[in-house]
Amino acid sequence: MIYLQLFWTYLKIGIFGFGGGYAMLSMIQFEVVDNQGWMTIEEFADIVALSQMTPGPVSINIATFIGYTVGGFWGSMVATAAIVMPSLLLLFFVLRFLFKNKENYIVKTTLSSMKPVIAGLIFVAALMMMNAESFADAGLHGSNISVIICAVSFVATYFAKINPILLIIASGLVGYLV
Amino acid sequence: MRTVWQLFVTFFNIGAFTLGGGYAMLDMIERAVVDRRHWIGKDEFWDMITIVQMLPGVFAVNTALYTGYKIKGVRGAIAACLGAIIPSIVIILVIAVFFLEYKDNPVIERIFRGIRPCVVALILSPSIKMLINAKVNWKTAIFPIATVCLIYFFRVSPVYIIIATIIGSLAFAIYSQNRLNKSKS
Repeated sequence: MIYLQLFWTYLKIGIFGFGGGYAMLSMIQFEVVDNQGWMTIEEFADIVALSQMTPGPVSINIATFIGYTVGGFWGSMVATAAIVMPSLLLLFFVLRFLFKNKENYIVKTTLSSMKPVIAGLIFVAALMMMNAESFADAGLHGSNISVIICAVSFVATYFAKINPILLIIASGLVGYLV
Repeated sequence: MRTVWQLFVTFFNIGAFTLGGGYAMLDMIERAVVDRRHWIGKDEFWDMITIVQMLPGVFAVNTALYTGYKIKGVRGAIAACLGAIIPSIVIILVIAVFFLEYKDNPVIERIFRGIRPCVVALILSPSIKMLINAKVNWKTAIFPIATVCLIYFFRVSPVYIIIATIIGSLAFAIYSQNRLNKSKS
């Protein structure tokens, strides 16, 4: 039963995962944390961090990790297979249609019109992680340190374009030391 | 058969050694299939990527599938895709076993308390980049705001929002094409 739920959840994510890995996060979070209640938002954030630090496609890393946490070895296989499957089926449709209509006005306009919503989807994933347990009450001498880590990390990644893996390691070190 | 195996090995190496996900892998893939193996031309590769970027699903998986397909058909697609994901599965399984064992350890817990706010920042950054990339103005700002409110306050599933967005964007595209045709004639 858990395998079926994992399969269905990740199939939806594979089909509707427009806009790249970060946009997919809010969908995964909604399904896994809110809908199914398989883990807390903090556990989810931890999985995202570890998946980002591991080589390979981040969304595949997350799928395997969540699958394993929820349903053991076979759970990880089911989740990973389910997120890849729609891409495999789409291959044949796209080869027939999209490659021949590369400059298609309707396809282009449709996809670029989706961008504002995708920006909102990504933002929501960050917003949902900013809850009391993982953020304000982090226990690091009150709430301030978490806010500082977040603000500094944001400036470092957005403006200074510092490697995310370095930031995760540095933040972990700060969390341990402070 | 040799090319199919080479595709698997090429993507396996990329999957095993590239940090930072899909876009970081893109550079490695180009170097391997265009520069080193000369399987496809540079223009052909980037034309393909333009389309692959628009597709739903995992970007790196889609890139592997289409590159593999272009080079060696369906078998090439499957070989490249398996090559790209198998290292991830193996490495993550090892990490997951250890993490679930030690996550309640006080040292690990403290480390992750520091990491979580950083993860929030790492997600905030691409959302703002996407807002700028989408050229959101005061009129179109309603879309990201509505998306955030619907999911965060009303717990509407993102799946429904994406379905509605596809339908709405398609209708808008058809409408604006019709208007374009009319103004031309």
